[in-house]
Amino acid sequence: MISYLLRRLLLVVPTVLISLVVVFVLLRVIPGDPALMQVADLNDTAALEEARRDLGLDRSLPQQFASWTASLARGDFGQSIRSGEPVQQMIWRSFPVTAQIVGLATLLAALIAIPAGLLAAWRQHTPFDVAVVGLAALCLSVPSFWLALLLLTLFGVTLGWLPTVGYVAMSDDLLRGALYLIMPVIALTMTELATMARMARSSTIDVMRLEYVTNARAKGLSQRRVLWRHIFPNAFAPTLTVIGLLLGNLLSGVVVIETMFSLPGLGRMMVNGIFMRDYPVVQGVLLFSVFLTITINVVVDLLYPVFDPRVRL
Amino acid sequence: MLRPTLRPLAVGAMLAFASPAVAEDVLRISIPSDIRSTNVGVSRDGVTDILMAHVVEPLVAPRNNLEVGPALAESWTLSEDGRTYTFTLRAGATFHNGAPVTTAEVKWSWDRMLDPETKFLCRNWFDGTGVTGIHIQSIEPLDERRIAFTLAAPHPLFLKRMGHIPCVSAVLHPDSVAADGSWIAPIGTGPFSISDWRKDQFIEMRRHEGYVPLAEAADGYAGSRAPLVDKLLFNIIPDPASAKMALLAGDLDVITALDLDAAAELQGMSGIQVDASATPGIEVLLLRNNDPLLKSREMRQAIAYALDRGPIAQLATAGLGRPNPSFVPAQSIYAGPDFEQALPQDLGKVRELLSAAGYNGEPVTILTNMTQAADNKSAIMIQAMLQQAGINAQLEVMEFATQLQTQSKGTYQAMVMAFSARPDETLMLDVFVGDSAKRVNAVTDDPAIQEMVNRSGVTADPEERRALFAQIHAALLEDATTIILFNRVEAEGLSDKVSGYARWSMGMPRFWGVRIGS
Repeated sequence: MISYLLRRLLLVVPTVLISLVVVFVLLRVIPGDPALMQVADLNDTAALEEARRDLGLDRSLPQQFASWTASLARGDFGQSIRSGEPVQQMIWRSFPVTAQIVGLATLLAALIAIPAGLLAAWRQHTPFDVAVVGLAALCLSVPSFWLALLLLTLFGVTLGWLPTVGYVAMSDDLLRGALYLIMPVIALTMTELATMARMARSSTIDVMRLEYVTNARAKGLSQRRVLWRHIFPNAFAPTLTVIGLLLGNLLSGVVVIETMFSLPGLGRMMVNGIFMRDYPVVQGVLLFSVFLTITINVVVDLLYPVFDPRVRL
Repeated sequence: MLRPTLRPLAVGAMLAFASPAVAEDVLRISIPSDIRSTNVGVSRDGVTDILMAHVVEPLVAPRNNLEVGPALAESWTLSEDGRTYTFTLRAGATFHNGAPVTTAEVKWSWDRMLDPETKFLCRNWFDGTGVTGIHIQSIEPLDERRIAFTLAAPHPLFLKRMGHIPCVSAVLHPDSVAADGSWIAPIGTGPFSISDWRKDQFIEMRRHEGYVPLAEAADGYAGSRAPLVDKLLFNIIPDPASAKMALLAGDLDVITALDLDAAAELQGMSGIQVDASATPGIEVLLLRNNDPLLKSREMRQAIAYALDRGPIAQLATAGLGRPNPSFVPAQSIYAGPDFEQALPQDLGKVRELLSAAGYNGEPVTILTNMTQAADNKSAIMIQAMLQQAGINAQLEVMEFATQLQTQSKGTYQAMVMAFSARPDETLMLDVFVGDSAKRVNAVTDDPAIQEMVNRSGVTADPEERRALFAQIHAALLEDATTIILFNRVEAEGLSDKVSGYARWSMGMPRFWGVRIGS
């Protein structure tokens, strides 16, 4: 396990180096000028040139890349072109917001979807199975912005139960913070629920067809024991991979949910950065996402043998 | 921001703690994005300008008719030689820290803005190094309340430049910056001061208790800026549909930058008011005359004759705007029948001109963006009209930053975009008229038009300017490089608890003089 972990950590180095180059080059390939975004309405060529000089955009691309990587080596992600704020500070402020929603939604979705998928497979072709599959298809088909609007209309406008504007960190005020998170978490849970339930169901069906399950039944084990002792651990492993991938994707930002519910999360920060051509912000968030994805994948890999004894690291 | 169902909880808590606190009037407003910074005139954008206008004041500001009016200066005089402006500061004006405003701080603020180290975006408008031709030679306090600005040469647009909103020449207390000159926070003279700024969430402003407004009623950004509520709470809500929901739910009192398509829907709802009006900002179709096809004036005029501005304005402004073929907005003192003249839609004339231009169905690619709905809708309508007239118009929709860069480099054939509001016709003309050899984004580079625009910027006499503008308008129609379609429309959605709110000609929301009822 230790050597596996070391090998995986060594692989992080080239991944990060490649990501650095890709992130930098891709951003520069996209047309748009951050300086222009600041002074376009002044219609002043001199002001534009000065803004470009101040932002270091008048230097060659290799010089800009060298300067960025040198700053990264010192642990400095740079400063936002738009606000002048250090990018690390922005990430540390936004990430907990996203993490709260994603963490809660993933937990909730896993708690509902995995047993539902498992039971749907166990009771394949019964009304329960049809209901689970139908609900999953519905959840996948509903665009998250529309779901968000429905929730805002129902709980915010019609019933008046939940606030439609603002955000309070749960660390500041648990109860008020929770009130602000209910709608975003529901919206995100619905999306995750579908993916997880479908994965849990299909992997359970695959496992149920294996010979050792037939063998367990032939030994006279109770249905419940067969399901939870023999099927669940093996069927759960692929679902765990899906959860890992989902977490990696979602923790990098849930743009639509954050935008619709006005949450100051990582995804909204990155999209604003892209629209404003705020290179340091986009580079910082993308790099942070790379680290996050790698970390989650390593953790999932390490957890794999716990559920699937056939896997040895 | 508590919902009605939660209010009993809040009331219970208040009773339990027997708080003697008096409820404050809080006006809750949505803004589509966060401010860039509080360093006015240095790091800014449209939203930043709107909010900072509540915190800081320049000496003068635009009135509703776009002429210059008093702000921190209650009056001014101009010397006979036209070079020295003597401003008298508003009686009783104080900074947010309670210190009285004197000419020493005015001089300090201007010296700071003119110092290249400050990086004031419009420094070269005033220090003689830019294209404006304005050079402030000296700034001399005459006493505590009177200060003289002397220019190297007379310039009729000096005050308009001084009051131009993106370049707000704010008067600040020296404690706004650290000893090394770095920015701390604005200690201004405006009716509100920033009390809390949670990045990407909200900006809270508190009433400046020592604010003494001008006796003159609010007139645009000039006149009284009396704060009538205790707090302004600007919530950052990027999605217009979510902002609308929040207004309907009673969680907001005002939505700024209201989606025009939502305006009609909101207008019919009880408890909601909609305030919409056209601004001096213009929607334009730009045609590059260095393009192999569009270098033909007949070709450009054919395009102009193919357009009917009425339906374009109707679609792009959700029926709230009217066509305007000129750079002179209805609010201007120069507005009049001369500026309503336009090339009418005439498909017969189009065929004639296309034939004269030797047009053989070559494509005309019109760029636009997907961010600004008015640009996008105008472009779609223009494409349809051109196709109907036998011109092979193609549409290319890009992201706004990409379009902005393309416009800046002049690397396009045709483009639909908007130019934001300017408080003077010459300032608006400067955006698209110029020497394209020196400034590639100058789309109208006819030397005769350039010469007239230059004259309009150094002429003070209103009648002379009006005559010049009329000639420029006629020449622009003939030149057909910049085809002006209509004035941009902006709107706010308001709860009916809000009173005293009124849009003004530049369109930028202002929340002084506004009350919130129970």
